[in-house]
Amino acid sequence: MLATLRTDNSPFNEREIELLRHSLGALDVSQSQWLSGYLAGRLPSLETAETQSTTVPALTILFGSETGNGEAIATRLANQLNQTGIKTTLESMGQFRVASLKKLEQVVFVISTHGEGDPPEEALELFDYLQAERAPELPRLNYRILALGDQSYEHFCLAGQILDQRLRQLGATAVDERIDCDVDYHRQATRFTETVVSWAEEHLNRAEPVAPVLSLVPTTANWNRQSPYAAEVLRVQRITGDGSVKDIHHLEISLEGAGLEYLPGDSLGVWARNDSTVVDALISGLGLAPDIPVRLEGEKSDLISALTRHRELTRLTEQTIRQFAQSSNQGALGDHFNGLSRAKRRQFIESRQLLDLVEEYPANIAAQDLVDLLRPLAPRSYSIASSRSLVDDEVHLTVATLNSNAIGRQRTGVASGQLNQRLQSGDRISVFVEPNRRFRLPDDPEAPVIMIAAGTGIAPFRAFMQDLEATGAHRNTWLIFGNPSLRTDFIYQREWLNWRKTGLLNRIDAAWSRDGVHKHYVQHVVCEQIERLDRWLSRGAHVYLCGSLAMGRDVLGSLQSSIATLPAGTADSAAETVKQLGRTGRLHKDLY
Amino acid sequence: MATDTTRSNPVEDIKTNSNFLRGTLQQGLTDTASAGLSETDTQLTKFHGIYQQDDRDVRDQRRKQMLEPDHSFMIRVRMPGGACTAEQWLAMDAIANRWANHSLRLTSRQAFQFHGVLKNDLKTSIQRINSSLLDTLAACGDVNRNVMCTVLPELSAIHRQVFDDASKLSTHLLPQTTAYHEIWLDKKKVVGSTDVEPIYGETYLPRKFKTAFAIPPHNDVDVFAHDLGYIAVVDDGELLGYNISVGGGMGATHGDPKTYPLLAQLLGFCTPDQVNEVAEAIVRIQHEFGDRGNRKHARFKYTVEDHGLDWLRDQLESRLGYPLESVRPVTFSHTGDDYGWKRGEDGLWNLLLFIQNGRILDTGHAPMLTGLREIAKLHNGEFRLTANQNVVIAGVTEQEKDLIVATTREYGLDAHEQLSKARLGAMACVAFPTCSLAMAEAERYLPELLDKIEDSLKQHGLQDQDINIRMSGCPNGCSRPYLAEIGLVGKAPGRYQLYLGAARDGSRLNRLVLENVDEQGILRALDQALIQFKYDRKDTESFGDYAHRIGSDLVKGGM
Repeated sequence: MLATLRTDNSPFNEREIELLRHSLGALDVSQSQWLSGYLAGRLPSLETAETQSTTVPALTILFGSETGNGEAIATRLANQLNQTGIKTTLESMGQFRVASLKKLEQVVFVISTHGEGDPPEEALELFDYLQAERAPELPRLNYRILALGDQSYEHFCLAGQILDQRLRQLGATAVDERIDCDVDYHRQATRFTETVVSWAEEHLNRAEPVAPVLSLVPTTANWNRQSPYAAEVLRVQRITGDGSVKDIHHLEISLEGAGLEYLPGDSLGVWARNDSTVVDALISGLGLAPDIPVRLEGEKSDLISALTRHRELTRLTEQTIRQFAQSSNQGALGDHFNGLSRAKRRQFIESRQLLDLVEEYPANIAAQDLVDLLRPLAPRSYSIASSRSLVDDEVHLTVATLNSNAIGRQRTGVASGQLNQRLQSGDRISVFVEPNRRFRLPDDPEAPVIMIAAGTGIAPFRAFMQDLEATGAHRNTWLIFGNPSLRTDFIYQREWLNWRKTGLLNRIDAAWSRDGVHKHYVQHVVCEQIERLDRWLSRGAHVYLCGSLAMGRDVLGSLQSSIATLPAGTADSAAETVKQLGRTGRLHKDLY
Repeated sequence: MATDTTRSNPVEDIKTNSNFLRGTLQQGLTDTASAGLSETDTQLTKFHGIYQQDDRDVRDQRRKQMLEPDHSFMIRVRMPGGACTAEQWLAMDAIANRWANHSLRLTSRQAFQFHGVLKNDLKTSIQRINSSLLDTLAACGDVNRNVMCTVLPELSAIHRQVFDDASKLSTHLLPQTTAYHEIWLDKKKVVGSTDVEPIYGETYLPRKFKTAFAIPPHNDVDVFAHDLGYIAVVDDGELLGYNISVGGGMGATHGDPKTYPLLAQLLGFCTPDQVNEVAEAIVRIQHEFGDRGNRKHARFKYTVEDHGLDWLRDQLESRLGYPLESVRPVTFSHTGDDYGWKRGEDGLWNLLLFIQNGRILDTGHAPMLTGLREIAKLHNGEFRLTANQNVVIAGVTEQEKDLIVATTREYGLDAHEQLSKARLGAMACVAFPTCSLAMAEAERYLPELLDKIEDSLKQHGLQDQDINIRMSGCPNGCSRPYLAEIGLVGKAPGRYQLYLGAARDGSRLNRLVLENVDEQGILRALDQALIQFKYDRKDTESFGDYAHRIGSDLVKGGM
């Protein structure tokens, strides 16, 4: 790659190329990967600098993403376009100057949906701008939208839909229908990229091809979502005490020799396999044979391996249920489901797995129909609970077993069940790193850090603390944590107490929902500690939220309302501080 | 022996820096991250009658789970002479059921212990104890602890006087800090006021200090096992005063030959009105001369041993300003409890009930906790806890008697009528799973071991022999194992030091005969000793006296 670098195929002059060859050529794999992450982090600001110095680009790609998936897709598209000579600008919606939207003619939006249909934090300003009454007309704008979401949540791709609708209202033209991607977005995203590139090649002016900055070094590790690394599991240890209502395990996984790098805040994608007893029960429950041949994305396979390795059996969607009812002539299921209120439908979906449907509503369905109606099995993502600087070539996860028993039978989540219950040390599991550069420790080494978590949301904060411990950092840190019971559910309690004892951690405030007469949650701690929080925020603290979407919403709600109770004079400025947290990159969310 | 008493150990610093026992307890109690308190504060809670403990059965598992030890707290009630009213019994019962582990533990020093109280429930529990007019102040810690008193003298009038003297002394030697009231009872400290500890100062004593009153011929309190003892001298129904005993104590450390149990020695005689000033002077002497460098050498017994009895008498007399009278002759019969009904000279009845190892809880065949609650509801008199971890229903009228008998039968509280003398005379300390000092099982294991010892006794026709057997989970000796005819002191899980040969009246310590033996070794040694005892004893010689006479040869052949 470096050998082919020239002044005519890169943005560098000869001296720069010489310097790059000299410095990059000596890097090993891990150094290169680190640098790739570093450069990716700097990208938006670099790109902004470029747009200011050049004329209007042929095409602009704006991404709004919270987990980094959208950004990855957008980056890949930008690189492909640039390589084919289409002058393309890539920007985060957070960095984009919204007022310049009306000047643009070709824009591709990559937008994810979070929580209860919310756009990502960095897209908020753009959404505000577009939804304002005096939003400008956008008659010149031609756009495409790739929306990312998760069908098992209620408001699937809602942010994408709202963006689409609003752009139309403002007079913009959709070049193509919006594409809504589920968690297994890869195939659709690739198709979308191909469509955009071939359309652009045909319709837009081409300049000299530009070598992508990111391709100088590998942007992802040798291992990725498509080709995960089969890592050895070193230890599986339940870490909730006897009597806990939660079944949370700590996993230690070896990355030795894999060259798989990660940073505190990143997630680990895990390709799980469905439980063989569930697959067997499903096949026999439907009166099918395990070895029936089926076609899977055009490839030949058989029913048992399709269901074990390639199809979602544990997460239902409305669509799956309706199609299942239809294909299996299960009118009773269809009638029951359609007769439910929206809220009851959510509850029905969330509390059941496919096997529950089959056992509750015995049905006949052709093997191929079954395979076709089920969603492809998507990898599960876990916030990493370790820092390489402390655990070397291991990666640690904190996994809660997902349980449901809608019809009186215990079901577990596909990945949590495999990780916590079916894996033994010595087994291997397919993993890949999902970078999350929005959930990093602050660049400013002095900036205080407030970590707010519930349940397994504590995982990335263990990674943070390990990092601070390994690097001997001296920043103020504060953990606010909630779980059912102090006796059994303080995840990594010994380590937290030790960090507090050694002074690396300044403070712990915990909320134990089942220990007192009244339920006590992290948002209550936020309310009780509002004066201290205000002091920390005024010293530039970053706030990190990790846990369920509901927790994130409640904590932010509590922060807003509590700030209003502060003595007059400070309430206004504090409210402004909170509002600015998101905009200034001091609010970091890893909610699921 | 010269001892460096100026150098101080870490606990001394903790006391000095604690602002009269406050430490950081207020903050620690509200810390939401741990079910425990800081190490420093756990030293201070002892003075407030509270020990931090953890369930040692799950300690290792929780370490793997990265959870802190399963902390809970033991609360010990201060109750001079082990006496409480029926109303107070009901209050203790309610606390046990609501905030502790549904059991009441009677201790070898005549107190209630609650186990398994969570940090968040400590304050409420302590408040409930105080509102019943009992308290926990100085139940543990480096102070004079619960003052003991013989429970069951048929001489009711004498008992009342001695009990009063014990109570007054307990009050006289209480710490004066208001920390207890601030922390637990929400009393506000008066602004600008400073604490004064007229007797203890800010460093309190170098180590715990134990006081007991005995009324001969009963030596149920094991008066010679205490730092300070008062032995009632009665003549013709009149309490003349007390023989003063000093420098007893049980605690030792395995493998440290400089630590050992010691029996108290008689120092002199004082009248009842001199009790408090004698005790205060002795406490002040210990405060001044006790070893603050080494906690293992800090008990008063070492101060007495290091300086000698004459030195102590000189010190005491110069502080008192008058000479002590000489010791009067008294005799003790035995240290055990006399079960069943005894009538006092006041005409009221006392029923002494056997509580195995002092543990009162509801089991399938004996719902004892419920049974004693029922008795407390119908009984108008008192309860007294004995030094052998049993209970007396005291001051029962003739009319009440039948109903109480019926109730004891209904709830399985009449075990003393059926059990062997060996079992009725046995006692064990708490040990596992809560006591942090335990090295081996005691309370949970002794009943099982007794089954086997009983088999052996029966086999040799000795089932009616009075033998006292005491087991302790560690060498500190809460169950006073060194004063047992058969003493077992925990060394490691399943391993004990076997001691034989104490006198039944508490006047002679036993001796170590076997080290580090397991159950099989214990049973083999005892079986062999019992056979020899059966054929070789002189007349009515007790097992303890026989074992003392023969010495360690008694168990040599079998090993």
